[in-house]
Order: sequence, then C-alpha cells, then structure tokens
Amino acid sequence: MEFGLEQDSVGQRVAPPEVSVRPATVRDVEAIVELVNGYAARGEMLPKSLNQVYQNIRDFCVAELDGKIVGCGALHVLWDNLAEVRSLAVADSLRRRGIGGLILQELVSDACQLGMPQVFALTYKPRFFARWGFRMVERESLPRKIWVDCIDCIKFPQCDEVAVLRTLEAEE
Amino acid sequence: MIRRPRIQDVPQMLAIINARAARGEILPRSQNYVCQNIRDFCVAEEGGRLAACGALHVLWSDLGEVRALASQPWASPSIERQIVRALLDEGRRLGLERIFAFTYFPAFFLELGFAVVARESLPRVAWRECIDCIKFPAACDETTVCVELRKT
Repeated sequence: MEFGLEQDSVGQRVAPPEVSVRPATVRDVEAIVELVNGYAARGEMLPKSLNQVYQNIRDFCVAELDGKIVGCGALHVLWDNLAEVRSLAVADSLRRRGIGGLILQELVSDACQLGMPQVFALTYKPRFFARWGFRMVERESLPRKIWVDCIDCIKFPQCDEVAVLRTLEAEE
Repeated sequence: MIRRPRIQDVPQMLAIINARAARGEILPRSQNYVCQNIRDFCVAEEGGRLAACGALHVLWSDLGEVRALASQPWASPSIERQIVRALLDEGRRLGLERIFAFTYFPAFFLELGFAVVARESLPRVAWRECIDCIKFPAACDETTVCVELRKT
C-alpha cells in the first residue's frame, strides 16, 4: 500500500489516510451492505438490505482507499425541513483515522446543497457528532416523521440511542 | 437548464406532477414521496421558473425506472425529452444497465431509444408500485418500454 496508512516503526499514527469520498454507485452496494451489517450485527446500527440500499443509492456516499470501499454513510431526506444521517460506518481496521468525519462532512454538504435547514441522527456516538457541530436534543423534540424507521426496530420504544441535531445555514 | 432539485422546489414539483396525474396520465405523488425520493429527481428551469421534472428510481443493481415525468403547459415542447436524456445520463453514472417505464405514451419513449417490451420480461422487483394500483393486474393498460444503456 502506497498511502502512509500503517503505523510507523515507532508505533505513532502517521498522517491521515488518503481517502477520497464520492457518491455511491450500484457497484458499491455489496460493500456498503457488508460494512453496515457488520455494525448492525454488534447492535450499533440498523441493518440494511440490498433492496434498501439500491432503492436509496443516491443517499449514500462511500470512502475509498486504494480502490477499496472503507466507509460509507447516507443522508436521507424525510420531509421538507428534515434530513437524517444514516448508516455511517468505517471499516474496523481504519477506525479513528478521521474517515467518519470526512464522510459526515460530505453528507452535511449534501444537505446544504439540497437546501435542508437541519440534519439529525440517532446514534450511540454523540461525541463524534458533537465534533461536527451537532448538539444533543431530546428525541421527543423531533417530529413524529422520524419514527417511521423506529417503530419497526426491535428496541422500540426502549431506545438507548441519542438524538443529535445540527442546524444548517441556508445557502444562496 | 436541467438541475437537481432543492427541497424548496418540492411544492412546485408536486403541482406539476399532480396536474398531469389528474389527467390520468401518470401516478399522483405525495409530498412524502417526493421528499423521501428527492434525489431521484431532476428539474428543468425556463425563464427562472420550474418548467418540468422527472425521476429515475433505482430498483436493483442493473435496473432503474423513469417516474413522475411531467411539465408545465407553457414549457417548451422538448423539455420532457431533455429530462429523460438527463435521467439516462444519471443511470449511466450510477452503473445501471437498463431503464424502463410504464407509460401511455410509448411513441415519446421510442424516439429516445426505448423499445416496447412485454411487461413480463421485467423482473418482479419492477412491479413494486403496480401491486397497489387499482388497475392491477387485469386492467393495466400501460405500455412497458425499456432501453439498454450500453446501446445508447
């Protein structure tokens, strides 16, 4: 591997990986499902079927390194004032390298381009989102619309995820 | 100008789509549908006003569907053709192989390189929206058209 990804001989973490983030295509779907369902198997996010990813393929972006998909994330529009960050996952071997942040930035910029006034997520990692301008909010403060996915969750309504929200400045 | 919609375009997109739906030419679409699938859409602007819209919905690794194609009565006559061409480009970018449509206007699609095919030649996943249709299955009177992206 050419990128300075591996730890150097002293064991320090070297420069951030040369990862590029781009919109997903149908060719990325199997890699996306594998990443997301790896996390889902540990109870850290909702599982996604091939069907769900194909039908929402434009929601997704992927992080690529050396021709390999090493992360993904989705921005799903729920209503005219609300979009949700979903399925944000990074390959286990590459966690804590800033890749999740790169993906989240891309999703937030996507939301700005769509003209969304706010973006939320339901997460077990509120501190990660806090680094990117999200603040914790009461789940109950979010519109009912967001529960569409929740009601089919085996944990509903004893949910232990935290709601985080970021307000976006209007572009134009 | 063909561009991706912003969320603020949704009310006008709904008006354009549902005016055509009221004539029985396409399916009506809810605000919920258009918001949740906003990324499927492209819109055309003429004179600073929203003139037309159309959607490419991805169904599987190889297959997409043209949906919700509609324009304002005052829009230029070629506007829907321009929208479909943009959707075909989008299908190529995404790596799709085939794009189909269910339509009452097959001649429009034939000019754009589509061919009439038997409904049954499409995989079952293409029937997703059909099963809730009041005309399904016996009374369906739409024509199925399909284009192979590699050939265009």
